[in-house]
Amino acid sequence: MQEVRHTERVSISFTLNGRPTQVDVKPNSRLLDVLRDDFGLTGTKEGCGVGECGACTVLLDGEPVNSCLVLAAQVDGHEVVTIEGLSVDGILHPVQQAFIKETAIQCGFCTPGMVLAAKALLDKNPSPSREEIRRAVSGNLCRCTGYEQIVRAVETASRMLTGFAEGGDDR
Amino acid sequence: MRYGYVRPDSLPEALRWLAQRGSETRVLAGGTDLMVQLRQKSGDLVIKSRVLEPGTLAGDGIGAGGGGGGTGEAQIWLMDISGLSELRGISEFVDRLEIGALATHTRISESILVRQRACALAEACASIGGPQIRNRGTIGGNIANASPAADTLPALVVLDAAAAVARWEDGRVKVRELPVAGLVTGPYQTALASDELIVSVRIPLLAAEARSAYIKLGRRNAMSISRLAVAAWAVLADDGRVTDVRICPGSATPRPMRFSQAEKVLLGKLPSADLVVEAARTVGDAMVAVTGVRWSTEYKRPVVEALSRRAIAAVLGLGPAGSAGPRGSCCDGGDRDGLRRLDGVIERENGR
Repeated sequence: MQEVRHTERVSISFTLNGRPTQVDVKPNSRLLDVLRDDFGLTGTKEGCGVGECGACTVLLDGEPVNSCLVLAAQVDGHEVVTIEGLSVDGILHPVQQAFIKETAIQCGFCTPGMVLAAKALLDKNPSPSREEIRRAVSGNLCRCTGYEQIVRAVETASRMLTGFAEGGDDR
Repeated sequence: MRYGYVRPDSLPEALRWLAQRGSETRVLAGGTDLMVQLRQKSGDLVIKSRVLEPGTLAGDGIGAGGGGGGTGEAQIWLMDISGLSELRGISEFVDRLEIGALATHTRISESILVRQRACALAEACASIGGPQIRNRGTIGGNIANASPAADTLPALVVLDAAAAVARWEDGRVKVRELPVAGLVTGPYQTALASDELIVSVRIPLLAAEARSAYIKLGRRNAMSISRLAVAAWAVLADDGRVTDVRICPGSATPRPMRFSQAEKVLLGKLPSADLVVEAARTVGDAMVAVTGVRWSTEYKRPVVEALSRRAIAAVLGLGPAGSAGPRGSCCDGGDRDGLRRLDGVIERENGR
C-alpha cells in the first residue's frame, strides 16, 4: 500500500511512448503537468483543464483519456502515448499524414488530441463510418475547421492503413 | 490545500483506511468529477458525496484540527482505488447482473450483457460526456457523486438496481445492499458514510422480455450534461397488456424518483398512442408537482412530456422496429429518427 504525504513524492514507473520511464511526482500532480513540465512533451495541450475540450488527450493503455483528469500517480504500471509518440524517427504516422493532406489543421491546438483520438479509433475499427468517426472525436473540440476536414482526414487515414492508398502526392 | 496520495492494493486495505481516516479522504477512481472539484475556487474541498460526521469537520471545509504540519493547514488524502481490479467486472448470475463499481461507462455501454439485459443503462452510460470521459468515468463514481443530472441514476432506478456498499467492521469486510433510489438522498448527497465504498451495482433479471430505454436531451449531441432525460422500463403480457412499468425522469427532480402516477396510467392497459400521450402528460404534471412552478417550467414541461412519449413508446414496443435509444447507442440498432417521427405523428394527432 502506497501512502505518500503532501511533503513527499510518489515514485511512478510507466511506459512513455514505448520507453520504460520512472519519475517522482507530487501527490496531486496531473498527468498533463508531468508530461509537459517534467518531460517537456508540450504536444499535449491544456485547453480547459476540466475534461471538456479534449486538447489534453493522450492514450492510456491504448484508450483516449483527458490527461487533465488523470492524477500522474495513477499511471504507475501503465502505458502512456502522447502525440510525440506517434511519429517514428521523424516519419509521420499515417493519421498525421492524412491530417496534413486533407488540410485538417488550422491553428493546430486541437490537432494532437484529434490525431490520438482518431488513431485509437482506427486501431479498434480500421474502416469506420462517418458517424463512427464523428463519435470517436466527439470529445475533441475544434474552433477552426468545422470538423469536416478532420472527418475526411480520418477517412483518408483509414484508406491508407487498410491498403487502399491514394496515388499521387506525398506531401 | 495539501494533498496526500494513498493507493490501497486490495479492497480490505481500502476499507481499513476509510475506517480510520474516511473523513479526511476523497476516493479517486476515474477522476472525471473529483479532479474538476479539486480545482474549484473555493479552495477548501467540501466533502459532497459523503455524510458529514458530526465533530470531524468545521464549517464548510476540511481544516479544523486536521493532520497538516505546523501551519495548521489540513491535508486531504486522495485514495486511488483505480487499481482494485476486483471491482471492475461485469457478470451475469441466474437472477441478476452484477456490475463492479469501477466498471467504466465505455465498458458498460459496450457490454453485450448490459445491452441485452439492461438496455437503459447501456444507453445512459453511452450518453455520458465523450469517449475520453467514458474511458475513465465509473458507475460507482456517477452514483456517489449524485449529481441531479447524473445519467446512470434514472436508468438504475427503473431497472430496480441496488448498490452493494462495503465497510470494514469487526475485522472483516461487511457489505450492505440498498436500492440506488434510496442511496441518493438529494443533489450531490448520498447515504454513504465516510467509511463506506460502493463496490458493485446489482440489477435484478426477473423478466427476460422486459424492455428499457433512456432518452436524454442535452444542449449538444455529445459532451453534454443532461438537461432533461427520461428512463423507462416495461414488461408486456402475452396479450400485449402492460403488466409492469417504471418511469424515472432525470435532471427533473432533486433526487431520482419513479413517477408512479404516470406508471398507473399504463398498468394493465393495451399500448396505444393515446395512452402514451396521457402517461407522458402525467409525467409533466408530476414533475411540476415535485419541483413547483419555476422559470424553466414553461420549457421543461413540454420537453419532459416529449421525452416521456419517446421513452414510453420505445418500451411499449410502439415505435418502428427497435426505435429505442439516443444518438449513437441503440441496443437493437434503434431508429432514433423513427422515434421522432412517431412523436411528431402523436403530436399532430393530438392537435398540439
